[in-house]
Amino acid sequence: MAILEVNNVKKVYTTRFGGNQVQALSDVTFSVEKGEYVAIMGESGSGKTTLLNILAALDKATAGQVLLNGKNLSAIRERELSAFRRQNLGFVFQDFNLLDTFSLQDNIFLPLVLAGKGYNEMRTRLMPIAGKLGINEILGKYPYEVSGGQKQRAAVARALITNPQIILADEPTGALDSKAAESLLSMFQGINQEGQTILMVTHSIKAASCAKRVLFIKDGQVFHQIYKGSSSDEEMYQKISDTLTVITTGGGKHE
Amino acid sequence: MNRFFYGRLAFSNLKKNGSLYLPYVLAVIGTSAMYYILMAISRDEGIKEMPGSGDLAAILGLGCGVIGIFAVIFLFYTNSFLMKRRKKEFGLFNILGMEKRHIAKMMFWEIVMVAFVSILLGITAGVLLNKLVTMVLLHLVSFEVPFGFHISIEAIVSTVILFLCIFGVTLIYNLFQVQKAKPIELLQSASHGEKEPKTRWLLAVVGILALGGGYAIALFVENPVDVLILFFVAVILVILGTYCLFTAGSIAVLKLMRKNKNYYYKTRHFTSVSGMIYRMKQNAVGLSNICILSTMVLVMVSGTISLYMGVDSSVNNRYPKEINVTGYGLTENGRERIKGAVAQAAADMEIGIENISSYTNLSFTVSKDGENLNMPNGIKVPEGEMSIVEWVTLEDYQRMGGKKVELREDEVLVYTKIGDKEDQAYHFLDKTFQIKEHLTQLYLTDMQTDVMYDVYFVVVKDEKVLQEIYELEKSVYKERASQIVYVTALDVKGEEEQEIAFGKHVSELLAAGTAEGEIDVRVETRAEYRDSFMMFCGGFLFLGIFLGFVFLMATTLIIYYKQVSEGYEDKARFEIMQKVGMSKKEVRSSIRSQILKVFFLPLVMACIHLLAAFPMINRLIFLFGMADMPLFAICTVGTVGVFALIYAVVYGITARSYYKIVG
Repeated sequence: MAILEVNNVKKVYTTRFGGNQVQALSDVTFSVEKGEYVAIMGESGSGKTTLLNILAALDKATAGQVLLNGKNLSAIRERELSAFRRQNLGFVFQDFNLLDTFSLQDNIFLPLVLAGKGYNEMRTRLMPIAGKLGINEILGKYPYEVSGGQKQRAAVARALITNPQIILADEPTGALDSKAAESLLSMFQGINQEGQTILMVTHSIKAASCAKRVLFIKDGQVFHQIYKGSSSDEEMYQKISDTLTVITTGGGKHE
Repeated sequence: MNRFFYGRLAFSNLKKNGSLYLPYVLAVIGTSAMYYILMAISRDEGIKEMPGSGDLAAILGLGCGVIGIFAVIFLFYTNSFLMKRRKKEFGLFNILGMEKRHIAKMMFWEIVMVAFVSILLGITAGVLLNKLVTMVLLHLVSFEVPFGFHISIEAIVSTVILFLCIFGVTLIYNLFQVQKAKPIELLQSASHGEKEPKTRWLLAVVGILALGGGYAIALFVENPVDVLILFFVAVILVILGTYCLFTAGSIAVLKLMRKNKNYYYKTRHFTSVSGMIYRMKQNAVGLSNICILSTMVLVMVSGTISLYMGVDSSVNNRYPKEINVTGYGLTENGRERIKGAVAQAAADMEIGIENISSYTNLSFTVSKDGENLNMPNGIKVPEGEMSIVEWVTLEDYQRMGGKKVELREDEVLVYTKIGDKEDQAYHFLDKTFQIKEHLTQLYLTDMQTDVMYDVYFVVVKDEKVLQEIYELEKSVYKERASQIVYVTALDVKGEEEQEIAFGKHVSELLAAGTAEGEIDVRVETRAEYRDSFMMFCGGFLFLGIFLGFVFLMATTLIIYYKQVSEGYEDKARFEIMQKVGMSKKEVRSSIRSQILKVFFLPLVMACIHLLAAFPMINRLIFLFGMADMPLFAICTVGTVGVFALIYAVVYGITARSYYKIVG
């Protein structure tokens, strides 16, 4: 069953002066099944980030609808929106977005504290996740005291700790060195194997080749998609690479 | 390259950073205007001609010094805020290819522009406001002289020199800062990762001890002379304690809060406690500054206002009657001459007199240790409590309505309002006086003024005994010994002018030499005393309000800069929290509660300081003759109320600009 349905989403930005209209998304339709691991690829300016913002309920679509577990995001009232996002969505960002006023542990606890959970419950939830992500040792440290890879793992823990319906990741490997990126990606695969749904926006072929399905966006619409099926990461890498070549050399005719 | 290039660049920089520089420029304008005004008034020829202006000039001179020192510290401090915010900009210039010496040139032009504009406007404002302020001052000291509008060149020169020096030092400091920094550091310094402050228990303990010591002095030192000396010790201790407590104590308390898991992990406390811990280090000094400045404003304004409001009660306390004639070491003849002179003056001026009373009295300070009245001699102060003994004769006591009793030469009657009432006898040098009775009423109302010391009125048999006591006193105090005085006090039926004229006339009559030679006599009128005391208190009030205003301005500016720089830091944090699932409303309310706590902490602390200082200030203004505690309490509460109101308004205005930045 589809956990996330995106139906004919359109987004038009109107510049403040002069009324020039810029179409970021023209018509996007796709769905994500429970337990899937989907990567969305596209060039800069293709509308990836706009799409992710709409999925994260940070922005509203001009037309079309987004359903999470059958619930229309645009129908949620402003007041309940934050709680809804907290309960159903987990976020991983390119620049980590950890608060430097908190230790890593407190950063991870933040969404739970906002939800009014007690310390003991938070601790019980954190322990298995921290073990899995290998951050047990550094929970007491502050973001400015640890490496980028460790920061990103803490950010993943923060996304996982609410048991979200889906994890939305925006260029999660963008600020990491190749080794840290690789370990993060294998962590994502591990989490996904345990049943966690993940949607990742990236333009790293390496990152996308770990996903089970890759969607390509061009000029504001879904242009193509490939399934990984039983191919290995390397084969997937090749497939994506080929597709991108086709897209960038402008071949609408290959569709 | 165009030779105006750096000037133009500097100008556009200033324009771009307008919201940062405007308050700074306003502060320079304000302080330089104030400095000019005080300088001009204290040098004013018209004021020098006023009677009793010596005190006033000294008070104003003191004010000039305070504002001068303050301007240096304050402007330097605000400058560091500016530099912190602008380092990134300088780093960018550096990376885009400007050498450090080019940046230095640009900074030089910036400071020249700021200095030129702000000093010019400051002096202009000072010149314009000078007249108004002078009128306020003259009104406060109840003096009416029409002053012409004039500009004090001396004050202008001194203002320009002072502020040019401040700007010069500021420039050197800024250049040094940029010079020693690497470009990448300049670029990153605004978002520099901060270490969590360590709990410094030693500092916290020192803070508590210093503050406790200061409070203890304020609360428990009762001797007025000690109060005067220890007041500054207490002030320094409290300032030290405030700095230590804000830097160390607050962090210690916050960390304890964080240790309490059930408290800490609540939405309301979670972000605010951690934010405060994070912020405490960078803000501790700023908060202490705000706290100390606020305390100073409160103490100064409430103290001077109550002195001023209490002028009449102080004057009446000091001089219960309008005309006071005091003769020193008089013979019977001398006394007759005083009586005669008073009567003749009344006849000459055809003026009615009433409530006339006279008494003979010897008064000196002793150190009272139980029943022993010790005489402090030289530097060695004997055990006991400083007290005043007023020796009077049985004759005067009974003439004023005291009860009929017989006294032997070694017997006395004693009256005291707040001193020991259980003593059996007094031992004074080699003499012992048996106390026949402790009186409940003295009748000598002219003598019973309120002073800080314990006062003992000792009624002795007659003047012969009084004379003996005087000889004894002289044997110890030598030329410092106080003499036996003969005081005649009376009221005249008439206006103040007649009162003063009457006093003058009596004084002239007594000064005229006669066959018996001159007598040592002093004539004081309440009206004249009131005028000079008014000059003193009015001058103090003026300075109190003036400095209060300057400090308030400083407090306002510090708050503003704190809000703005915190706004830039919070912007990013605010966005992250929203992404993670905090609603806009939650973020706003959590940030508001945090800032509210942080900003009203100094105010609360200042009020606690004021509360602790209250008894001490009460005793201090008592030294100036102001003995009206309830009035002082009302003035203090009123001052705190007005101050809190202004503080809240300032907070509201700056908080708005804060929210504008954040979001």
